[in-house]
Amino acid sequence: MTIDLAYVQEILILVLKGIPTTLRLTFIPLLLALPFAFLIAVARQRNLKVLARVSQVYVSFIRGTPLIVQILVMYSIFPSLLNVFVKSRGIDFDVFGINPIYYAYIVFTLNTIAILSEVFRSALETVDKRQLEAALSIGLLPIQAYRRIVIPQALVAATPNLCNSTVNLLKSTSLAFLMSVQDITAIAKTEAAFGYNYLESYLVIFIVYIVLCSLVQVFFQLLEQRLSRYKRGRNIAVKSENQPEYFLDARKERYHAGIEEYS
Amino acid sequence: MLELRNIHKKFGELEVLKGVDIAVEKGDIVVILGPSGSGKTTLLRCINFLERADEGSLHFDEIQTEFSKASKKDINAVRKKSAFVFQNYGLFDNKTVLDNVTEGLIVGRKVPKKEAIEAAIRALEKVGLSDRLAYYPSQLSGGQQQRVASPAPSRSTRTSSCSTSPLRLWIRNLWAKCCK
Repeated sequence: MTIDLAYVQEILILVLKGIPTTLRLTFIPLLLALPFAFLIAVARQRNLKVLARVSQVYVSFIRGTPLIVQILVMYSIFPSLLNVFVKSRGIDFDVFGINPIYYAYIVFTLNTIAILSEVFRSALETVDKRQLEAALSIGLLPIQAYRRIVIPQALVAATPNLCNSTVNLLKSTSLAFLMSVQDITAIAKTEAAFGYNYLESYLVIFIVYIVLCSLVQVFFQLLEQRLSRYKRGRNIAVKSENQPEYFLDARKERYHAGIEEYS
Repeated sequence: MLELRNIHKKFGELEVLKGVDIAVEKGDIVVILGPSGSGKTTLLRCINFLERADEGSLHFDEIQTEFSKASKKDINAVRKKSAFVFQNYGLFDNKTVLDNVTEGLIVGRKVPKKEAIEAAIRALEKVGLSDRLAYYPSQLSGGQQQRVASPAPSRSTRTSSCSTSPLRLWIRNLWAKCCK
């Protein structure tokens, strides 16, 4: 068994062209899912009857089926349904000419909403409810209290799970080849079948996935460090031999108060 | 002036407040004493609408409302006019000492930033914490957290304040200092 290096290089170049598609398949659904997932999480935490119940059923449906089945169902039902709808309205539109990537966006978004809503819900639970009460008691509106106090703290607890979900989603996009979307897996598979160089093709995407996932993990690590700064505190060494330490510090704050935008 | 009439509050079957009347004049310092579980904190939480009383009316300066049908606007107005020191100090973990004190002023009461920061620094100087402005609560000792909590709700426009921990009367003294 030998590895044809020239061929590896050739495949790599082809696969690299598929990376934007893979990243789009990851981050577009992720961004689309964030607001919905957050709303569901808040609804469930505050126990809003109908919304909480509906979302619970939705989450259990998504969690209870393999992603590959969701993709197959979606890809076989949705275009036909859309076609019937378009025909019935008498619109001249070729449903089967739609780029399959849009179906992929829909499936991955629906899936990610369910997963992230649970991530956010557990994160919101980690914030002591007295933090919210304290915020309300000083006259913040509920939305301000969430935005300024609760969410910044919840995000810290959410980042490890968020990282997990993102990496999972990135890997799941490999299933998009089922919908004939040309992501890196689809490209590698086509090339492999074409020249019978399975080993090389699969090794290449193996490594590409590792690299992509590592980058995502590094990003989330940095994000977590940034967000959890309040837990470790920031370094503030203002020392002087003659002046008391607080004097300098207080002056510094006044100075900043004058020129800097307060956030 | 703060006046409460006939407050009732039930938690399930347990009736905690059975028609409490209380009137506090401006400048009064009132201590509510009682064994634990007797509803002292519940009463204060009801005033601040952290707990919704089942019955009763509230008269707080120009605000006049029934607890059962207080609007969001009334609730927010009461909260802006009053201050509340929690048993656990109620500091925001993700805000610095200075931000903890200014948060309610700037966001809650719309005091200009510069003015709020000046006032906060003055208050923190009085409790001996002016060297801790940029610290987060996690970096403070328990006693320091307690001292942040006392200026946190205090301010020039303060009209009423509640402390849920009657043992810490000395916080009162600190407040008195802060408000001079």
